[in-house]
Amino acid sequence: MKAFANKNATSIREAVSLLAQHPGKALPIAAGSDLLGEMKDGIETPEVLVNLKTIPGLDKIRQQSGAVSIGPLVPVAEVAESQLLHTHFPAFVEAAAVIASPQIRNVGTVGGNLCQRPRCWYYRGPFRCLRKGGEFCYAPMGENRYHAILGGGPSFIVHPSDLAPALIALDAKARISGSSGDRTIPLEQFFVLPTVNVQRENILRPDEILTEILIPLPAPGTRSTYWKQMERDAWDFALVSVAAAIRQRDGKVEQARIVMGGVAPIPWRSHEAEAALIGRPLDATTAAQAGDKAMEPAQPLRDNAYKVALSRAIIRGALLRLI
Amino acid sequence: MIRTYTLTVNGYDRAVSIAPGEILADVLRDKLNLTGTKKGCNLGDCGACTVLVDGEPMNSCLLLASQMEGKQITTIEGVAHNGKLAPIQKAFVEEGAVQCGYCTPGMILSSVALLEKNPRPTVQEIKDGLAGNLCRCTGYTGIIRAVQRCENYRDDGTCAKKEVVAENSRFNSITLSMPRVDAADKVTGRAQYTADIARSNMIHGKILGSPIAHGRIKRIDVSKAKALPGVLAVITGADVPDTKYGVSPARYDEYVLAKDKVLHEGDNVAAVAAVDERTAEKALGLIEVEYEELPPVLDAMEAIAEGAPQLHERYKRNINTVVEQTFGDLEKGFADSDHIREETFIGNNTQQQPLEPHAAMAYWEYDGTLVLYTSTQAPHYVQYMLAHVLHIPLGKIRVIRPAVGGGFGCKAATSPLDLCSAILSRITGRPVRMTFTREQMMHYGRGRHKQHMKMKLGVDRDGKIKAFQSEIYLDGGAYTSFGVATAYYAGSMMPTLYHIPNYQYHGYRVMTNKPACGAFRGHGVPQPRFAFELLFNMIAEDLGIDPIEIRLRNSMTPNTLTVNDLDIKSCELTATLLAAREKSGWKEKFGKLPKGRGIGIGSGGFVSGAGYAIYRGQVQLSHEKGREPFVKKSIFPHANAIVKVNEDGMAVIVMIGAAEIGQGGETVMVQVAAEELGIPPSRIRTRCEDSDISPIDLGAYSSRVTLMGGNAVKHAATMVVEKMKPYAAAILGCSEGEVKLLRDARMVVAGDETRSVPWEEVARKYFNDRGPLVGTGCYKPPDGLGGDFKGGTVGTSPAYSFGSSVCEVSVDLETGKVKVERFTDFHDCGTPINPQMVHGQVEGSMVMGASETVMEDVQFDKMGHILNPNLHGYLMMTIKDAPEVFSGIVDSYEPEGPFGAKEIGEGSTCTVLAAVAHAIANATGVWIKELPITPERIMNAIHAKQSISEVVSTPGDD
Ligand SMILES: Cc1cc2nc3c(=O)[nH]c(=O)nc-3n(C[C@H](O)[C@H](O)[C@H](O)COP(=O)(O)OP(=O)(O)OC[C@H]3O[C@@H](n4cnc5c(N)ncnc54)[C@H](O)[C@@H]3O)c2cc1C
Ligand code: FES
Ligand code: FES
Repeated sequence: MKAFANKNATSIREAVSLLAQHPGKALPIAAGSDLLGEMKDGIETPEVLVNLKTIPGLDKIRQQSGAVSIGPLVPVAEVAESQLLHTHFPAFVEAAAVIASPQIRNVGTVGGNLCQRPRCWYYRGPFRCLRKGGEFCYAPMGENRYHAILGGGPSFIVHPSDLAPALIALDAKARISGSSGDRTIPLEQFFVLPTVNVQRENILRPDEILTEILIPLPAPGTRSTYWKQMERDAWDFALVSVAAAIRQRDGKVEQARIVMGGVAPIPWRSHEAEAALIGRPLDATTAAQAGDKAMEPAQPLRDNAYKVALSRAIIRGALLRLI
Repeated sequence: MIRTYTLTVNGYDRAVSIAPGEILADVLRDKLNLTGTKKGCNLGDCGACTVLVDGEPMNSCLLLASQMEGKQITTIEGVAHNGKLAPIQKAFVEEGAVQCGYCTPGMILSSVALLEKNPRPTVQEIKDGLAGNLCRCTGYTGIIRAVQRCENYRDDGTCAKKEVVAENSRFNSITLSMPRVDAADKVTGRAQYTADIARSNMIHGKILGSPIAHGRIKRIDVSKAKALPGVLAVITGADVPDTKYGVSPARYDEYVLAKDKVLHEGDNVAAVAAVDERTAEKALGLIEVEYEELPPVLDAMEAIAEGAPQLHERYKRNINTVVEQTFGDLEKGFADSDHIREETFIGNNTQQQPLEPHAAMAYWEYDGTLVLYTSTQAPHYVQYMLAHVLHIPLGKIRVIRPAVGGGFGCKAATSPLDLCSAILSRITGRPVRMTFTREQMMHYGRGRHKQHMKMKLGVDRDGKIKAFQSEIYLDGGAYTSFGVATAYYAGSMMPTLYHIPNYQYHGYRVMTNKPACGAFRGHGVPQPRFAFELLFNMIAEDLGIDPIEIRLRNSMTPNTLTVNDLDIKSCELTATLLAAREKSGWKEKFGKLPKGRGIGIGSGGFVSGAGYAIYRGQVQLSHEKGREPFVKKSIFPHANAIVKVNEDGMAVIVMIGAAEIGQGGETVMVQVAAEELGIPPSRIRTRCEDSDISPIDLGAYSSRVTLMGGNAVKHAATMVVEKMKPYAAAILGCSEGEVKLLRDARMVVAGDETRSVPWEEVARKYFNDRGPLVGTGCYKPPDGLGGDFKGGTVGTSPAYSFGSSVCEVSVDLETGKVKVERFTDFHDCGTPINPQMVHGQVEGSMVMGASETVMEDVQFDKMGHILNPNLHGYLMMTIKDAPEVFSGIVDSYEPEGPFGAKEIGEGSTCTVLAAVAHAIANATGVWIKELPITPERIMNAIHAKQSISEVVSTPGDD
């Protein structure tokens, strides 16, 4: 691992100004479970790490009026074990509980999970791919069984986070702080397609950090769930996953948010699936139709067509849980 | 900037200077000397480095030491108190939860955290709690048992469990499920593995691997690396001997460092030694290598084609080994068959990936003796190979094998670390320690050959085998390693399970620009066995015969010479089939389960030690270069033991070079010695690790330790008893012939057991009169094993194991996800010396084999780069994936084995792949003939079948 300087930030303001002082050379670090892996593999070589862990107050889950606030430094394990979150946001807690291993859930934070880098084997391997400033993405012509079936091009990574689809399905907002001020945006808009930025997965500028996640309390009648399909029963990134949040009234779906993981370079919200449900009863037929609709725009690569069938199956399966 | 931090470790404040970026695992190990914390991957993928931080388990390889101030850190060394094992440690020891022990510290810490919150966890809760700790040995079964039963173990180390006694009352120490002799060291973090061993003034070495899979080295410039402060030596191909090495003497084809060409990604190009690991790593980055890239060839079938890129000049068309054998009259056999089916099966490239990465530490004595600590399965072959490459006599090399964290075959050959550390140490005059990263282990390879298997089986209408033909292409990777033997094994073991009157095997081992493949648990056999067993099941289905029934009709019988001249003595395959059928409820399940659930059968077996050593000729001449002519007998004993009685008669030391790699070999040696000497195992210690102390044993490969090592120890112990008899007679006042050895540490007068003398008193008397009381023993396989044809030696063995596994799975037909639910396995391993350890081997094999069948595969891109060189890409089963295993042992006695024992560790792997694949076929209605059977393949197969049946739906099809 290349040598670097460690700066302990004691406030959000200090953190962003430290980042701003070393443009392009500094990175924020939370627990480091993702970042240290990248540094050991020589993928990231920051000269300065700005330690966010020393900022007080960012590791709290707080109930507010109409919403719950999650600090970016809350460990994933705490989400998985939180009764409060479980009551309101099952999808979020279910997603947290299937991340990696107990140890990594104890180490890794919510903010780090949302900002973690892709797991594409070209990106993580000794390949100078598009995402690392190279000329092209290796996936379309290469070994692509785990790559994007939706939203791909020019890069075909899939977003690895389990928390992101769940939080977007729950309509969470992200608060971002930077040297030019703060902004709060829907988390859905936090992530960007490669057509927007082929080297980053989100809109954060180099001097910005994620400082809060706000999840609105769901309207009565809302149910949510997270289904993660893995090759192994634990400690595995999603082959494909789906978060679904559905509100029903009088036997009909009034609101639906369906967001997939592992299928696209961003957490992939399927408006097609949602449209297939709204105004109709949630049953085996509509659930299957939602899955079919969600996959209509899919453009699989040579080796990942199975993910299309898999996605259909788990969208249906997740929705059936919510009947 | 380096700063001093105060870390609170195991209750004490420790001041440590830490640079930014220093990882907690390294600080604990290197600065605080707490080497119980293991490193298996350095990326959060294995859990071996687990420590508790404020009571919560975390991966210490992912934590910055500088962020740890003010936190309570607990390592494995902090779990036992005042030398007393904590209840969970005791439970791990007693319940058979420890094998190689490399995962054990992390497992125990995760268990501690779990039990703290939940003292009586359910199995599911245990699986959730331990889902972040991989174990490659135990199959997790023993671990779950230990956590479940922890509450039976009290703080004072006693336990509510009843005393363990020998299962067979003929014996005292045989068939005794005593805890492993090394378990207590492994649960406390005291066991030292090679990477834990430091010597004063030690430096660190690292190897630079090739970034490309095939190329010529045009230029290497090491000047910048040499100039880096802290670097003590940099070597390249020019600095290493011109002698090639390998495993099979006929095909030594590896240089210590590449001289001219690199043949696979990660091939060894240069090595450095520096004051610390960071400097060494930095120096690697400063070595400039210019390559002329050559096109790689990655597929065995493409590599044999005319015009394909050539790896080695001497292997034309990249064909490294050719086996063409025919036994009986194949044509007639097929002509006599009522039903013939031919299928092609494709295996996968799996790797052993034991939790402990390879490591070596070397230094030279002033008298020119090389001392090498190494993580090896076969210390003698390492010694032999060092003598060969470094041109020094064997006697000038001392090999020490510390605790080994699993091998499964990948540590059976001399590694580049062994050779580079020796060379770097010779240059620098300092001890040099080197370890592989997980990625380097993947590049070093030596895993299972991916085999393309075309098989044709002919049977009569009753399902009796008439003829069998097998054509196999083995993808060998870039070097020979064990591959010649692999290519022979893939054929020779086929006729051991069933009576096959006519048999043809054509095997071709082909070189490709991938890491060399070698001997992986079941050496060469699991994939062809998978293919054969699956084909057999297909034929059973074709004929409407129950798949267990068809096996029974063909099952091997004792005292048979197979069609390829293998001499089978004890054989209880039939008993294993009957027991597995009964216990699994086969008749109620097969063909009667709902869609999505399936049951399958596979049988298998293996040698108990190879009939011949890997090299010909005499040990003593190992540093000489000529090859001696082959004779059909062992030139020297394959296992040799010294049993030495302590001067007070209260302890016995068993010295034998047999390698303990987690399989329990040392414990077996103790039990054999105890039985033969008539004293309790607790009085016996082993010294197996040091070639200066223990005589040669060829090592832990081909499942040979129990049978061969056991025999050597038994003979040595007999000699001790014989030497004691005259002294006992003198004390007892009887004739020598009247002295009888009892199993409770007494010698008595035969016929009058009231006249007795304590064992130790006789031993003391002997010492007082004659000096050291020592017995020696050795074991040579029987002469003349094997047929008089080329390759007739491979597959020969003093004895063969047999077994049958029934596997039950459920498959989600929508997602293709397989859940391997349960195994019911019965084995004929001869007399089980230690039944708990036998079950441990079976449990481990079932899970490893199931893991290979459904998820493991090294994946390459078109240029030969490994795309998943880590344990989150190369998936191995976690505790949550692991099936339940029932392991049973059938009655059997092997005349050639010590107290009737054979092998279990490898044979038990051979049954698994087919059993799982058959169960999946049974659940899904599609035969998948390519490994691994991933969700992707299942979905594709189901969809392919659906679209076919949509077009041609045959009447009567469901
Ligand atoms: C073996 C392994 C398996 C895993 N499996 C899964 C899985 O199955 N599912 C899943 O979802 N995740 C998985 N992960 C990812 C894991 O959840 C993340 O590593 C973890 O949550 C990151 O948290 P951290 O605090 O350690 O982040 P860090 O490693 O400290 O940071 C990660 C990245 O986010 C940036 N960052 C961190 N915090 C902020 C912030 N507040 N604002 C802006 N940028 C920030 C860092 O600069 C860095 O680029 C796995 C990780 C490992 C190592
Ligand atoms: S060494 Fe830390 S998880 Fe493997
Ligand atoms: S005992 Fe678990 S890895 Fe060996």
